[in-house]
Amino acid sequence: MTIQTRLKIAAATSAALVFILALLLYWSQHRLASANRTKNLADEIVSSVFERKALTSGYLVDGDLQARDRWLLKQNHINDLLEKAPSHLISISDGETFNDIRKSLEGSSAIFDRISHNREAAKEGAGHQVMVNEIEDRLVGQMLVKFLDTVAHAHRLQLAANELIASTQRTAEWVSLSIIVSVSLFLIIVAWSLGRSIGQGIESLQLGSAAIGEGDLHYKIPLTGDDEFANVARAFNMMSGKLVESRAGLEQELMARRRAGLEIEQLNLELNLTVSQLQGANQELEAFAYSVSHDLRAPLRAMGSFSAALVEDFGDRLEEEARDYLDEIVIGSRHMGQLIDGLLTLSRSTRGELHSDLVDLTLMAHHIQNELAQSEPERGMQWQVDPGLITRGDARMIEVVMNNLLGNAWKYTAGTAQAKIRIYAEQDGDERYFCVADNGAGFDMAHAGKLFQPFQRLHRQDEFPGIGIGLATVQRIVHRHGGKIQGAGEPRKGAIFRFSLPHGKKSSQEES
Amino acid sequence: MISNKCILLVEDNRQDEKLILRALRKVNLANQVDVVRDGQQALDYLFQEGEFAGREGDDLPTVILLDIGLPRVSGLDVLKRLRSEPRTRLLPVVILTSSDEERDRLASYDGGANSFVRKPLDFAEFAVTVARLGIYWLAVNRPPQE
Repeated sequence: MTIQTRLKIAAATSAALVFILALLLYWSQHRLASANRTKNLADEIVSSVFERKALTSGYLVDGDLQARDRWLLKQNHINDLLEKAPSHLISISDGETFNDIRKSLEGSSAIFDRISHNREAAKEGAGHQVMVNEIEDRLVGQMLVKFLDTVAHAHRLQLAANELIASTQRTAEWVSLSIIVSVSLFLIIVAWSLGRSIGQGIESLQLGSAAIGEGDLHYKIPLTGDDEFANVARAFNMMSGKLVESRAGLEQELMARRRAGLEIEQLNLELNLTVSQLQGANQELEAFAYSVSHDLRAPLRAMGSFSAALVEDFGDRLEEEARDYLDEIVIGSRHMGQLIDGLLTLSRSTRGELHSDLVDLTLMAHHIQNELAQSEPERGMQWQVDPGLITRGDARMIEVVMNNLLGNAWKYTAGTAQAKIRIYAEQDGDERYFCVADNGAGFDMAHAGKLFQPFQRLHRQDEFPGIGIGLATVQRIVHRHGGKIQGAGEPRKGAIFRFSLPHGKKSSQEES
Repeated sequence: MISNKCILLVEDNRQDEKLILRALRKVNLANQVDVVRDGQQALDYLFQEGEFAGREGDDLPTVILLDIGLPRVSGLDVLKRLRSEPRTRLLPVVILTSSDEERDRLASYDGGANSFVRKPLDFAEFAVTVARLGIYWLAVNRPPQE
């Protein structure tokens, strides 16, 4: 039962008892008033009866006729009182007493009439004076008896009224006292029991919150039942349960993060190791490239140069076939020199710092166009270079790209009548692509996968000479700029190479 | 006048030496070339120390053709030493090397080289380059001290 319900019941019970007490007081007042009226009536009757007795004596002794009239008046007054009496009555015994009083008064009234009648008859002279006196004496005696009866009855009524007053007062006192005592006891018991429940509840809650405050989230408050404290305790226990769950979740997450942190640390260590290994490998590569440029070129130069010197200085003494062989040595060493230079360019394109220069591809294309035209002035070529091809990137590296792409376009249009080379830009999504298109030999898209691999060629050496390293270098440079390069072609129709340089674009945005 | 002028060639590669001398011979400059084969020899020659102590005449060459990758003392160290001595501080030095590395080129100019020439791979080109070098430095260029 909830504390609120208990308090309500206690209040209702107390109110009911107080109401009963009020009813009782009202009842006892009513009874006391009735008893007092009865007593007063009895008193008045007694005094009237005594007055009438005196008047009787006056009439009988002095023969005062006025006394007789007054007697009759008093008699009427007493009759009036008796008429009203039933409305004052309380008990049946009182009614009987009144009846007795009435009868004795009627009796005395009848006797007084006979005395009076007897005196009237005596005056008129009928009968003997002695007999008249004798009859009157007897009647007076009877009247005295009636008088005594009446007084005795009235006295009985007085006693009964007094008794009623006393008993009513006693009853009211006792009942009031017992009601007050029981209400007080009830309230004390209710207050004590409520106090105990509240005290216990608060103590349990205090213990629970202290325990949880100290971190013991598994603590359960031991309250049962269905009062408010039990509800609070259940909510509290539920809350601590949720706290336990969420703490467990947090701990798990913390563990997972710690593990992830350790894994990241481990990965970082591995990464650092890999980086240092790569750095070592890079240094080796650099040393290799350096020695290639230095040490490999010298013997190669010697082979070619001495062969050429032999032809130049002693050519007239050599047979045609010998001179031809020496020429082959020169050609071979020249080709090997180109290979070494290509390798060096390729290796250099992945090393060194990437500059962010403003690069004018249009201007660059015109320069290369002039160089190519001078190298083979007999060739006709229709150039179409769009204006305003400006981007950002490493100028030296982008020059390598343009040299290779334009050089290829020039080379592979050697056998094409009305050869054309076009350089332009196109937008594809977010990317701006620079394109180099020609209408030369082209290539079969089935072999497109080999385009950008070093030393892979799609044409025979006697068709189009080359070392197969240019596009590999181009791809590396474009990739270093974070860009993409794509090649498309069709045999005998031509080829298009397009590339983007987002690294440069990003830098220019940052700077602007 | 021209007979007083000479070239000091510092070259460790015998084949390159032969090719350079042949190219200079073609333009009649071969008999004005002294050859040393490493950096230490070059320094000894110039400062008349070691095996060159008591070398005839104390003239300095008109120009030095200096390779970089030399045994014992490297070409760049030779250059450094020359530039630190008052007597050789202004001596024209041409770096003649197989290297095309940017860092070598920058280091050479940084060390005070007057010219940087890469040995061409092609025979004809090589011969022409060396001949031009000889003519330029001996006949065209005016040295700091005459």
